[in-house]
Amino acid sequence: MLKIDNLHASIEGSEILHGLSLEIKPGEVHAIMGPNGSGKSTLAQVLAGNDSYDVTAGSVDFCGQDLLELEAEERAREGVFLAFQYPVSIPGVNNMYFIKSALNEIRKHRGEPELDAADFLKLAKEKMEVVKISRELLNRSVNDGFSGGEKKRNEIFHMAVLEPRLAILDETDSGLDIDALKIVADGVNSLRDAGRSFLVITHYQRLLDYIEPDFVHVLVDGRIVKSGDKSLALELEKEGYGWTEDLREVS
Amino acid sequence: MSALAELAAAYAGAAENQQQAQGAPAWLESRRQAALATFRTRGMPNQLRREERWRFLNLQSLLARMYEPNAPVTVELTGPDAISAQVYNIAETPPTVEPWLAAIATDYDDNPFTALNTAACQQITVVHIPATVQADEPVYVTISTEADGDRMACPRLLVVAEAGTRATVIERYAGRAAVTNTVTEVHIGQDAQLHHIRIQDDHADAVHLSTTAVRHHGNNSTLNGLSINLGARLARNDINVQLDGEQLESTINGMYLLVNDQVIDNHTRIEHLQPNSISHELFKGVLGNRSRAVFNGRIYVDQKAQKTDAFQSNPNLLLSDDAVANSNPELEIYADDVRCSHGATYGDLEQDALFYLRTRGFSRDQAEEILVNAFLGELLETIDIDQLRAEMQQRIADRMQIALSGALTSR
Repeated sequence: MLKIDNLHASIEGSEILHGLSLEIKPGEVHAIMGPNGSGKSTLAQVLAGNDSYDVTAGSVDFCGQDLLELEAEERAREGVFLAFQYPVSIPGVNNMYFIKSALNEIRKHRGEPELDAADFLKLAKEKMEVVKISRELLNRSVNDGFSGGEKKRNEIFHMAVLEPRLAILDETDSGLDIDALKIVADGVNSLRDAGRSFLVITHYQRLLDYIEPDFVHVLVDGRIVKSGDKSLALELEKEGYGWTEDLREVS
Repeated sequence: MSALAELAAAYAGAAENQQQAQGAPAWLESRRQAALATFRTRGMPNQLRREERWRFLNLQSLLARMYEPNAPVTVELTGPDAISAQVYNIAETPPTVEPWLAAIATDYDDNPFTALNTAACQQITVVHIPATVQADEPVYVTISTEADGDRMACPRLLVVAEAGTRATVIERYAGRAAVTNTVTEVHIGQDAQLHHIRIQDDHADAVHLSTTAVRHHGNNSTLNGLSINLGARLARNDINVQLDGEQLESTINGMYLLVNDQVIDNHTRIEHLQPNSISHELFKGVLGNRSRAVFNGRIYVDQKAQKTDAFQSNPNLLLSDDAVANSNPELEIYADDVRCSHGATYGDLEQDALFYLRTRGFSRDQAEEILVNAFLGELLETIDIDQLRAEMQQRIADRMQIALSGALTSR
């Protein structure tokens, strides 16, 4: 589904990703762990199409398409979804109306008929169950005045409605207490299926207790330095990121 | 004689001829002559002398020639039966309006175009809300002119909200004459609630000059004013509100969405003359392409006007690097126990928000439109007439298309 090869990316002239390679097959859940400043969020932003970042080398293939050639919105319509680490609040834009319009943009792109208000409401109710989000949050402006946990849950709600092929979760666990974390993880787990892949970016192993990854990668200094199965996450939890200091000096 | 003085003399001569041809009741005749006399001595705004009130507005094209101030004006009126709305030829002006007509908008030195309108207008529209009338149905005053490259239209409107009334008046301009120079006087009596929506949607080549003067005097009364500016290539709006009563609440809001080379200049003056009143001003602007906006907000608080609460804000959203907004607050406060605040902001659309919207599948243009609608939504939502609000939203969407298509080329 996703094949990243030797990706180099920089922002304002300084290179953050120094040749990152990664392959994700349909249905797989990959976790990316790494210390602060290792390039985790840069990877998420680059994959979602943030044009503040320059890709200077490498390639990204998404379901047979050159992902880097696509605008952010084209990526979204093709099924790439980013759950933001810091979701943006948009005062004056109703959350329900917003996500309905977004879904209809994506449906139009897929050649599917747009959903009317009644059909959308039915769909939204199902998804609200899944991510345990209250109707009240949907009637408010997008993320406006939401608590940290509510924002993250709202991201997962957007994901549930938009049903992407590849979902990138950027530190979705940060700032969540254990109950909120479980709710978010349950939402993600309920969306797991053979055709949908996840890239879960996190600093802590904690989230991976609830979202079990197929693969874990350690990102240091803009490169994947170690890959393994979920046991690698536990190892990291025990040893911390101290050992990666040596690797950083080498590079 | 300078070219500007010649121009003023030509306008004065034309106004005088119109006065003589028409005649008016004696009380009005003398007010018209006084306006004319002031106009003659004051002359046109002189930008060479850097008149403060006119210095941000380039009037060159307006002052390059004379526009005969007699373009025909068509006024359409609809509204509830309980409210009287009528157009009168100046000669038939009813004596009942003597306390207000040409008695509220009299700052001829500040704005000579107001004087010119008073001297030259040929008909007046009077909306009279009799005491205690409470009307849900709004009064629409639609003022239009035919395409006319040579003439100036001088519409004149008087709105009288007597004591204990509740009403909505929608004043709407669809002018095609080269210049519209309009004056609206508003009187608000005790315990009255007036909702006044002014929509300027003149032709894209037109010049729109306006004075709205409000005598907000009746204790416990409320003004809820919204000025929506969409059309004209150059628009200058003077909005003067005098709060001369207690427990008054004046909301004076405005919005503009400018495209291409449009210029708008909003000059507001809020005068608090008695204690315990609130004024609240919010002017929101969206500027596309090479447009330019000026906001000058003067708040005067008399030394008697303790416990005044005056707020003013002018946020601007710039969609293009070539658009310019100037904001100039002027606070003149002589009372010591007041709350007075002001602020102006200029910003681009937030890049973070644009990107967030795009990751949800919206194109850049759609994302910009969503954010602009959200920005203006705060004011549009104050229009409680569904059909009108929807119509304004549509007009804004149409204009956003122009702003966005132009913005692409200027980027």
